[in-house]
Amino acid sequence: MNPHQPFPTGITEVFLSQWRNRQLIVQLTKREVVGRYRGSLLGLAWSFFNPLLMLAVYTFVFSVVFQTRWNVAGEDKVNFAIILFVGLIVHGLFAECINRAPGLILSNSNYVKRVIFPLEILPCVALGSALFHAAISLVVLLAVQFLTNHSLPWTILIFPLILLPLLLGTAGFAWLLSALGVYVRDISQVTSIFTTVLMFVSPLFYPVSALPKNYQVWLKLNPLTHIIEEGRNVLIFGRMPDWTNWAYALGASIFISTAGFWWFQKTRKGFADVL
Amino acid sequence: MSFNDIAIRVQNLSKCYEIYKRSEDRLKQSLIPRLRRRLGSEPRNYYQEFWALRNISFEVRKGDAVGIIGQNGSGKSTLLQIICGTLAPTNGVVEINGRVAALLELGAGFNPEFTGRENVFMNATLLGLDHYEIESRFEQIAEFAGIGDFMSQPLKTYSTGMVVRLAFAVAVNVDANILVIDEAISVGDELFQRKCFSRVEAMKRNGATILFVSHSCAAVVELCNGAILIDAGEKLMAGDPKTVVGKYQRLLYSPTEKRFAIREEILSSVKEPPELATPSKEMRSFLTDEDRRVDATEGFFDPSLMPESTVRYEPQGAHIDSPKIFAESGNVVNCLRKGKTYRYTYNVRFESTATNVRFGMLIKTMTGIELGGVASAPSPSEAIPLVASGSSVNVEFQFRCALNPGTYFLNSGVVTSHNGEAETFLHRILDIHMFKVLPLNKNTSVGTVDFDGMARVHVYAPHPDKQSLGRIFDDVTDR
Repeated sequence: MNPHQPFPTGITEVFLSQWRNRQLIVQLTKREVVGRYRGSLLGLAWSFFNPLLMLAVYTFVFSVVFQTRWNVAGEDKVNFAIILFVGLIVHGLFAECINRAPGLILSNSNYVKRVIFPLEILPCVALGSALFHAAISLVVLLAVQFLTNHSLPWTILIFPLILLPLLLGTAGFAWLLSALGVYVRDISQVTSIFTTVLMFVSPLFYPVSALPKNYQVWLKLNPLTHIIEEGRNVLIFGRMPDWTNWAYALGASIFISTAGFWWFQKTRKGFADVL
Repeated sequence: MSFNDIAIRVQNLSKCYEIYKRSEDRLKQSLIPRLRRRLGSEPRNYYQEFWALRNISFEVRKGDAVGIIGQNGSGKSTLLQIICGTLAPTNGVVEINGRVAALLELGAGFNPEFTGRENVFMNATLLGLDHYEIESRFEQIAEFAGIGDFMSQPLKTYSTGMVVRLAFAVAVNVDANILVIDEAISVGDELFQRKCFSRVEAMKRNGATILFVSHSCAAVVELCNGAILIDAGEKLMAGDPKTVVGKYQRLLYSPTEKRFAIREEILSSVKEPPELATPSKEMRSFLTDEDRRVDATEGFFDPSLMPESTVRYEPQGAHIDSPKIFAESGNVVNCLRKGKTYRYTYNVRFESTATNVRFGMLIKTMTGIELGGVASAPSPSEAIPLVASGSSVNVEFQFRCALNPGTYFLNSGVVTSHNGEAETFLHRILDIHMFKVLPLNKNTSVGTVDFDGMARVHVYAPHPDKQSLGRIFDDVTDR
């Protein structure tokens, strides 16, 4: 990488730069995952306990306390929690990245000022570690589902494909926000409010069908809605996703990631001046 | 000259920082001028300009070691950061030919949470090594850093010196063609500094290019074969390290009101040299006529060279004042040439009558080591028997400046003794005066004192025919 050339912004570079720096991404992600629980007695086991405890709490609160029903056939107490949990995993993955994005460059000013660092991988590292925790949660989810239902639908294999547009889109937003956060420090305040609001305007605690028809349209404008609903279809209900919608989502997410990357590369020259 | 011989080329480099009084001004600046321009009106700026660098141009050839010197805040570090590419210039172009390993500020982009080992791997990855290459060099790096078991501890537990050791160990072990060092070495202990210097020397011999920022002028002269003087973001001169260091020190010690004049003088005296001094591949190079001419001069007077550590004893009937150093020509100097003879004088005013009076002087190093001095008489009994009250005495000590380049301090004292009692000070002033011994062209003497030594080297190579060794080369160092 020649730091004296303008940074490439093209759509291929979005993926190429991640590929070139894959060693570094893996190294840093590993560090971050392990580092989160460093010093604690149970260590990495916490990443298992966390989702497990969350699942238990949600089951209790929503099924026992509120006695909420999802209104699908054959559901019992645990199933409600599992259905809820899919939404939480998807939203959690997105929210973690978005909340961390504005501070990514700020907190790594060493990498900006002292070395030639491929800064564009930092959002991917954040995404990687969020993905790891999502994966652990997913394992917990599938395990509990298997224990209660004694079977898993084969469509769970499609889930990574469902997640693909989410990952690309999240990366795009993370690039946009991490670059913006360097210049406008207020961004991080906005993102935490935004992700909390998003939690309630996404079908996490209720199915889309629970809303009146004229509100459903608005809910579907939320990109997370599609991911969460399709995630439930393949993980729990064993239904095939709507591939046309999926293709649209993928197209949109590629656009978002390219745009975010373009913005990041265009503005990064000024990072060192502001930090 | 083709670009292949050039390691670093900097052309018309400028860096302007936009200083904002309020943070919302930054936002305004990014929007309003553009709008105004679009609307056809005159855009206005919401910031103050600060030019950290102005129009800097130079070239560094492969295998050169170039020192960048200048005061704090003169723009040295900004220049290095731009060359390394961590900072974008406002104007101008930087071209780099080779792999750059940089020690910018301290720590070189280490992560304080990672262990030393992890940082080594990450840093080396950034410098372009793959996992296996790093694995195979890790031992070497660990050995050079010499921080032992700390290698597996997080970096935040390290001392500053240890961080620098580690950073330096990585930088010199990644086969960089260009090594950029910003002041980092001076943090290490003396032993490590020696180790660094010898490693840098070795890299230089292997053809690496070195860019070196330091406040230690001695290090620049020792390590570099070219130097660039930067002041207030401008390149004042470039050339031979000794010359540049000399000018720099003149500028550094100049009183504020004379600064501008001296600066202009440096700027105008330098005809833009086409390129930096040629690297001396020869280990033994001989003095040029110009070197001899400069070394033969008597030195000069630098009015800013005044001791700040002066300690005056309470006068007990005598007053010492007016310390001066004269060259043989009679000129007052305080920047001396090695090997020349000088006279150190001071006046003593007696306010009461004193018996058995002796005068003394002492030369000390910057760290206070007493190198040697002279007394006006060997013992009290041979001293001046009586000095009447109201007398004025001028004392003069002649000495040969057998000292290597550096800064030295002078003491002065007058003692008396009465009826064979122990001597007491009539007056004593520590660090009353200071002088500097100027850097010398091709100095073979090391340490503080010059013993007027000389080296003879006989090289015996195995003779092809006879069993004996044939003498093929004798060398006597040039003095």
